[in-house]
Amino acid sequence: MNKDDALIRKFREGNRACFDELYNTYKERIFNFINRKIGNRAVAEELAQEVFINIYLNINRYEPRGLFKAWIYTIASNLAKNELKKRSSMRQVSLSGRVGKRDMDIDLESVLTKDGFSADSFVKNGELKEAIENALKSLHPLYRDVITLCVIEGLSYEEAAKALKTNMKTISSRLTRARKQFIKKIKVPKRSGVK
Amino acid sequence: MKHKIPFELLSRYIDQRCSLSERERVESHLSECESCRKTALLLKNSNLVIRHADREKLSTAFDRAFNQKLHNTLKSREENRIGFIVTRVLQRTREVFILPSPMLARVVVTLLLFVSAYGVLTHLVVQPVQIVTVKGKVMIYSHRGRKWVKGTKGLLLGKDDTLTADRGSFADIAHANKYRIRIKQNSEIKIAKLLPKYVPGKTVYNLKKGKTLVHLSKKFKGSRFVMATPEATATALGTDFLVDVSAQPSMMTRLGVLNGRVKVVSTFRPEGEPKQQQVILGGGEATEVFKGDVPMAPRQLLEKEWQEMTEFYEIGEKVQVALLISNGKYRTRELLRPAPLYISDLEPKEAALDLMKAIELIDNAIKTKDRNKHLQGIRTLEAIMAMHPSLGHKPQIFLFIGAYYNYLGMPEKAIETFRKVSRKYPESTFASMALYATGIIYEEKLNNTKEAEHYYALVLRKYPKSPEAQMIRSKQD
Repeated sequence: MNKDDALIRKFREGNRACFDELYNTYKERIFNFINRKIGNRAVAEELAQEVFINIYLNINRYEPRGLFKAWIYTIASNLAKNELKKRSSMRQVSLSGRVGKRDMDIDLESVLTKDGFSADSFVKNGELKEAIENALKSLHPLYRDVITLCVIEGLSYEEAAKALKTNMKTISSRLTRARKQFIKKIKVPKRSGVK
Repeated sequence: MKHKIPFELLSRYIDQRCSLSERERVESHLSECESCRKTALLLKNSNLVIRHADREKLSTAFDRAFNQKLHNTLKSREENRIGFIVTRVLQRTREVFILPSPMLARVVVTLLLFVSAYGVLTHLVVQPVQIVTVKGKVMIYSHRGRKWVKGTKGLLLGKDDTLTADRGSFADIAHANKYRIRIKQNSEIKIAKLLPKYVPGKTVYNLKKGKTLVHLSKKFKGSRFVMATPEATATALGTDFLVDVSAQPSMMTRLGVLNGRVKVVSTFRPEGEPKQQQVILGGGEATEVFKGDVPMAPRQLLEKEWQEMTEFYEIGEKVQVALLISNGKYRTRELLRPAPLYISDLEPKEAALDLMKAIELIDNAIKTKDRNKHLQGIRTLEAIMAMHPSLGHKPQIFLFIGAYYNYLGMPEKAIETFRKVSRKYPESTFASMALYATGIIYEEKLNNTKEAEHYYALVLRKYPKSPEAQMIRSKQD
């Protein structure tokens, strides 16, 4: 039995502190997941609270099979989707306009393939971090979801598949496409010299 | 060097999701190939930096707000009276069944329980409607509180509540995901009966003045929607319709239907008639009911009324792909300009993603004015149609492709594409457009009046009520 399931078992037996521990472990992650999905801090906080209220009220419905992460992200994903549906906006992607314009000047590709690259040096460089954030934000929502779950939140393919209500093969192919798109976004376009 | 490692395998290798043999294959290739080694390093380091991407901190009030919300939820749960009653009823039932009571008593109790449960479900457990959009000044008369309150987003409305929208204002109200009503400016509507929450039933609204648009979703199926006005009642047998009692002086109700059918019954009953007169309106039809009279015979929607109906796209369910054309008689001309194609952005499926890529290609072709790129865009669209047999909205996309060919000066290809629509989707509203567009191209681009006449005749014969037939008739007159 993994740690999350053990905490849930104790919470079901009446130990409220175990719920608090789960809440403290996941609250920031869930908030960030929703925030990335809907892009509104205040609403994301409210929805993250809803997620934990749902968990509290429906804890008996959870089957402890080591998939708590998948369950909590499913709830978060559903609430975020409902919120997006409520906004119900149609966007034109037709003959007159396109999305995702790139305005990147840093050659991230070279930085990331340089010998001796370390994540620590990256963390200290605010400009690089911002460039990565922008590249992530400009990914297609489907791809951003899968990158958030599998890379940032560290969910397994199986957990991500459950959370996004799809299968592992789709997760794998979406992740591949997401990485392709991400690499495309961080590449600086080659400029032809004008004399 | 030949790259034997697909990107997909490299991606799984980085995630340690490949088999031992795959792993060995990748590692052996990486030891030889500089380019793939660089890609693998890029993937690995991308993972690292993405993991270190900024996480926003929660606000300091988050925990307090959560605890407050949880407390309130638990409290209201405890106070839930229906839950309490149900528990008591269940307890009693258990007692009756456990005690050695006679068979007849058990049957009677079971029947009574069923009847009362049905009664509770249909009459007591109703779901309130919620205001989902407000613009301008919208006021609510709360029947329960016996006072007027300002209408705000999220406010719940119950039976006998009244909603008014002032000049320049409107409100959308929704019942879960079953129906939506837009109450337009200068309108007053009262909720006479609400829909049961768990079982199909009937909902009734009284429109005292003004104008409403009603959209019923698929989930409404099995229930009845009635909009009553001083002159008539409209019972929905379909999905999208408009009710208007804003005429001055207010002695008339106008009804228009976009989709499905609506039964219109006048409140007036002619002397000697056993019951009121009714007419059934189909999609694209309208009628008027004057005070003290029976409903007029159905007529075609006017151009202005079609335009009013486009508002349904704002309140109804989203469409994934839509052509930007009006629903009026000029729609075929608008299509041939050509019309833009819209794709919904919300959670698109894989097919919609491919479509967006095609649209980007076309976008690029327009910017560069490159004919070959235009053709590439069209071919990509055609390939998507072949690749995704279950893709919805195909007639719209075919129409878009046909109009596009016409735009590029390829009338024969345009005609060929339009024929696909009229042959494959003869029941759709787009079939008459495709036939009419074919006729126009024969007449105006190929100077073939005989063929053009043939297609115009086909429209008149097959789709006599369509806006295109209306255009052809007015042209012939």
